[in-house]
Amino acid sequence: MRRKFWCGAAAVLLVLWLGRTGLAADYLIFAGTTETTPATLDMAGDSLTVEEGGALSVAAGDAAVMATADDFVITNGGTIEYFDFIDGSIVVLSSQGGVIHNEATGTITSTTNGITANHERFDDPQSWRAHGR
Amino acid sequence: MSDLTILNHGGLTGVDGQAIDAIGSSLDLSNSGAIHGTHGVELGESTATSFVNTGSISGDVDGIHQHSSELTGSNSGTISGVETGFSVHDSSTLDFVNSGRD
Repeated sequence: MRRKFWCGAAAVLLVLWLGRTGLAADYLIFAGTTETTPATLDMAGDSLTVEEGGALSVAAGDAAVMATADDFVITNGGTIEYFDFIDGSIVVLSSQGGVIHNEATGTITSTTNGITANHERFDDPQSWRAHGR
Repeated sequence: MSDLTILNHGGLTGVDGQAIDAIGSSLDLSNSGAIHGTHGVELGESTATSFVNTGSISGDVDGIHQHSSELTGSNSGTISGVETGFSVHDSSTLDFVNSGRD
């Protein structure tokens, strides 16, 4: 009985440890599906793939995709669109080695910036001049 | 600082902003698609050492807009803006081989 308890506890701890060490996440939006929740790429090697005919359509939030991970990969053959007025469709912050591949069938659109690469988050990313830079 | 590579073969649009806005960052761009925004590409205190356009980069104001930035690359496509194709400010450098239209 006690042995089962400790085995179970060890399994739980292993799962928690794996979570803390941060295995890279791979997000896939299939053709014919529309996801409306913003995607966050915050662990090294994270990836997001939108298949042709699939869509990431975000109406509210900072961005459709917020990437702070190093070596992330975004592959878009469908649609990534953002309708809010905060940051933009894809925002890349303090990230090294990220790649965005927008395929011939892909569209990335935004009411604000399409893709923003920055070293920090500004409240108004529309113009770096607004920050005296 | 961010270090980002963009490979664009499709459509990339910033309706009321820039299609690509790099601030304090390093950007490599290969474009054979259509990039359009208020400025197609804006670089602020950024470096683009590999910037290759064979497609279209256009802006409601400028195609490419630079402030305190370095841009090295080539164009065999189209770079255009309602005001100017290139708008280069604040000690920016532009080293560009153009065989297309701008």
